[in-house]
Amino acid sequence: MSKNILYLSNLLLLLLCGCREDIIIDVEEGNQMIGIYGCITNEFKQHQITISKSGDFYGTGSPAMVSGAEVTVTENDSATYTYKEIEPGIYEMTTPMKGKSGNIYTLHVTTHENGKAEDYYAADTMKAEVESIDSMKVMLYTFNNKKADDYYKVCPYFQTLEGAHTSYMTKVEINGKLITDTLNECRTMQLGQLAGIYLNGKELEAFYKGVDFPTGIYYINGEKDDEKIKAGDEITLYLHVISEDYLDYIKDVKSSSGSNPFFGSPANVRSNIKPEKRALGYFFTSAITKGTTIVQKKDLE
Amino acid sequence: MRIIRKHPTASSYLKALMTTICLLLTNAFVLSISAQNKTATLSGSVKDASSREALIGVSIYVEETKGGCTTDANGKYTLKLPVGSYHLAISYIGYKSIKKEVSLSGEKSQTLNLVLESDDTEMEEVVVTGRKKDANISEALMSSQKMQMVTIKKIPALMGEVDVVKAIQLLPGVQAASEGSSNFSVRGGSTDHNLILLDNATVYNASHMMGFFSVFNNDAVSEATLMKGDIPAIYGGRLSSVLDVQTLDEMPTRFSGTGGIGLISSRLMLEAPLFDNRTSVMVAGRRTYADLFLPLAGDEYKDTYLYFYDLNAKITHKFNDKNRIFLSGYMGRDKFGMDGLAGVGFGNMSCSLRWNHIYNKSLTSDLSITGTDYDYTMDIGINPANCELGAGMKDWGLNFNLFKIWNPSNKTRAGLSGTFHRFNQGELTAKKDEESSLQYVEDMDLGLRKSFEYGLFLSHEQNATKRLTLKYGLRMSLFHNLGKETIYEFNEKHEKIDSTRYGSGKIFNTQINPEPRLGALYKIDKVSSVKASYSRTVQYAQMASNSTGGLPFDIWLPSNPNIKPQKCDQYAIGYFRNLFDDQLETSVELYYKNMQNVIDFKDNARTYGNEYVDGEIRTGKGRSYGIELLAKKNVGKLTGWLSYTYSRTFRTVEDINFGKEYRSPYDRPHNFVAVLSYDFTKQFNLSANWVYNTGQPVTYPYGKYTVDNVPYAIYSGSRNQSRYPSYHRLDLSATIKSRERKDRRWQGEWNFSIYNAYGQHNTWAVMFSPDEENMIKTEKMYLFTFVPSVSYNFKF
Repeated sequence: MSKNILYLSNLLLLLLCGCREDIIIDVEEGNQMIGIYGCITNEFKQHQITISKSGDFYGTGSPAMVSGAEVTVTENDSATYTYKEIEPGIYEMTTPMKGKSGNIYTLHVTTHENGKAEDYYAADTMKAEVESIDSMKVMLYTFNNKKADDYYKVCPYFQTLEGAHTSYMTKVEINGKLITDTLNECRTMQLGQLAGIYLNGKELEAFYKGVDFPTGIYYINGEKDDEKIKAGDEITLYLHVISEDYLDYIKDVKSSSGSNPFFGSPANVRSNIKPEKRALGYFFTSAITKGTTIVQKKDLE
Repeated sequence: MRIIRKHPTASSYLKALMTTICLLLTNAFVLSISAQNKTATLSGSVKDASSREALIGVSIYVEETKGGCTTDANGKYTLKLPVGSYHLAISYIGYKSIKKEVSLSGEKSQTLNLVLESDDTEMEEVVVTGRKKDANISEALMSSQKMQMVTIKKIPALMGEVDVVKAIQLLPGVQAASEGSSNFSVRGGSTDHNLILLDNATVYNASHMMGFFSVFNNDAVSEATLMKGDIPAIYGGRLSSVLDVQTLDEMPTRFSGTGGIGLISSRLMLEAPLFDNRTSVMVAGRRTYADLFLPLAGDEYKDTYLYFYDLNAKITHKFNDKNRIFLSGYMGRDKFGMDGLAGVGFGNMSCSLRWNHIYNKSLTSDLSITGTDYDYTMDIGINPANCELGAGMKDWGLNFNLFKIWNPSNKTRAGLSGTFHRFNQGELTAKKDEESSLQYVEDMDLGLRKSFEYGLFLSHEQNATKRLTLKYGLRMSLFHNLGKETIYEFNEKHEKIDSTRYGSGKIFNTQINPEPRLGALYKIDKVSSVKASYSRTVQYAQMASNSTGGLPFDIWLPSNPNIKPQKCDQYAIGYFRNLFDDQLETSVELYYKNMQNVIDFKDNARTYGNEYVDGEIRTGKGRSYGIELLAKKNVGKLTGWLSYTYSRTFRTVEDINFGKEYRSPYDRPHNFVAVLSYDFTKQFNLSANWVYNTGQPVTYPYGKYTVDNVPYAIYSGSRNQSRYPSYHRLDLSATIKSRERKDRRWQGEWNFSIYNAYGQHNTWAVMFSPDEENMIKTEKMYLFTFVPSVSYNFKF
């Protein structure tokens, strides 16, 4: 509700006026913070955790990575999986595993920056995955009964999960190449009253990509170089079931857009890494279901 | 007077309260004795000699007593004097002064009706102020500014739309919440600390089009008074100020009208006397038409709509010399959106019915019933968010006030008021998809929050000596919530732990607060005076929003067991001096405000659609102080004012800025305003205003963190530690009027104006976005540069 309201407010403002120019702001000084980001999924693989440091606001280059940390994930306080550093700041499970719905995964990280040991931890419970995506269609996006050029919606057919607040995140590949390679390009949604029904694709309409109305699966923007599609292309949809808190985190990251009189004072994006306010990032679980389709010529007309 | 910087302790507070009550009782006793002396009453009216219109604020000076009075809103006056002969001097700016000798026998009251002739030699230069010529130094009320539409209409305006609120924002101690906003902060208070009244009815949201225009149609408005402190006891419910806007209620001499055609709107006001000049009717309306041109911008805009309209109406009827009624109504609405996609509508409706009754020559009363209704709706017409949602605030109020003039040196006001608040916190109704019959979103109903607010007040103004005037009063405010409502209980971490359900009609959370109001005027000589005041104000309803810009979707929350009433103690002292035969008013005012239970919102607060919004609120303390310098010229070819304000305002609120004091969003220390208007001839006027403000406080990040190739800003937890660049702007306007001809009623004028004449890019927002190399790009957003406009205004 609040997102809709603020979006419409800004839309009005942009209709009226709104000029922009680049500026450099005087940022204050602050302590470098540790950031921890990673997940456990229901895929059988060696899952990864990234540990890095915050950087200067206008800093260039890759973030400074944190090496030499001890990383483990405990499953239901029983099995423990150890990680090893494969690249600076990138930690990978030593043995592959597959996350299970209902299990609690707890991350423990000990860093040794400046010779001082610091402990961090976070936990998340893996949700149930969508049983299967039975089929998928790619269709030209229609708005107000008009077909949009080069804008396609990806419509899967599947039995949605119960619970209006069940949260989903989608990622898409075109011919095996991930087009959602940044968090900003991932789409999140809650299906509300569509929860628990069989989606046949027709119900999925939304405004356009980037506006998080409560549903919508994915939209391919053919105007982007890496999102152009043609007949015969293989489209793969990864439907992640995530926690509502992680969905909020993604929204916060996407809307961390500065100061605006309509929004109030900006604040840090929330993190689930404990101790509170000592670290950035997020540790989450994700139950993934995959669907695939081949683009037909008629889909593009 | 020493400025007291500490908040009073319980004992000192009780002492002040007792002192106030004792003063009131003593005065009542003295008055009861003096009333037994042999006195006579002289009363009557003062009218314009040619138009026969009642003149408001005419000074009637009694040379023998060195006292006097002014005519009231109906042009009437009453003097109670000991039996004897007196010389009266009657003066009014723009009119020839006259003298009269009267002899009062004491057996019965006497009537003396007066007419004043306009002073043609001065009239061309006069701005009718509706107040005494030397009111700046002789009236005990301080920290108050009354603005007439004559003055406001000369101020250059955005898109040529002359606006009461935009004019108020140019006064010392007042700051616009952000560029273009109709929200404003007074002496460091929040934007919801201002009581905005339209003909005595509360206006919760005074904005049209996101605040670029206010709800007040300048053709319908008679005058606006802003009280920044020293708030009379008759007013209550807000911490910082009262903006009292009154629509036209003077009896027109004939059918007449005013109007204007501008670039974005047109307006028309018509008024007429009826029934042998006992009734007057005024109707005013305006509508914007920018949306009519949107299709010209391209097919993609053909379904877009964007407009507002409003309508004012007022009927006044004089039953006889002792009874008059005023019925006033307002309705306005904004609409914007796109057909088939989404639409937003919001607006105010208000009405008031006031009965003015004169019991006798020295006692009058006002009984009024007021209603106000602000609501917004959002209609989303596309799947999957196919729904309607809305919220709003409704008030119904009853006020009864008495005004008693015991003698020229003693005046008492007393009254009571009751207001029923009904705040709809928000409801969402999902619409089913026509094809699939599916409902995509959940219905939601956050329910109503109902409450009662009562006020009982008594205030007295007493000319203690020839030089010293004292005014003292007490307002007792009482508040309670009314079921049915569920109140959630929160623990120390503001997590919901329990709830209590109050049944329908159940009264809970009763609050009683005394609000003493004290003031003193000491006239040093004929041209200068010193004033001091203290006022305590209490606020029982607040806006549930952490935005400073003001949105149509802002809803209000009443106090409840989780949200304590906000309180403010304001101390002020000022030196006032008039120069050049009262043509130039100057003043210096110092103030200090101490606020308790001020609210702010925690980081990442969710204020919309949140059933547990009480848990998002944090409370604390606030303080503001400042000095305001003003030089104002009301008459002559050159009119206007120069003002400089140095002010600071801070908050200390739990969980924000590590619990340490931080700058309020309205802490902008330096503020300079020049508003100047020059009449070159009767037909040609040039006006300019220049505004300078220290930049608005802002919270800037100190670093960034990158996750999944997306960098985002990180903050240290400090609040408002940085500032936007300074704000400044020059506006210009030229008005060319047609020549007045006795044989022609129609008078027209062209107004050409430029807003932000030198195109300053004032920062409205600073936006961050990741660039292609995953660095953060910072852009400032500015709203208006060099906005020229032209409008044609007329009257007949």
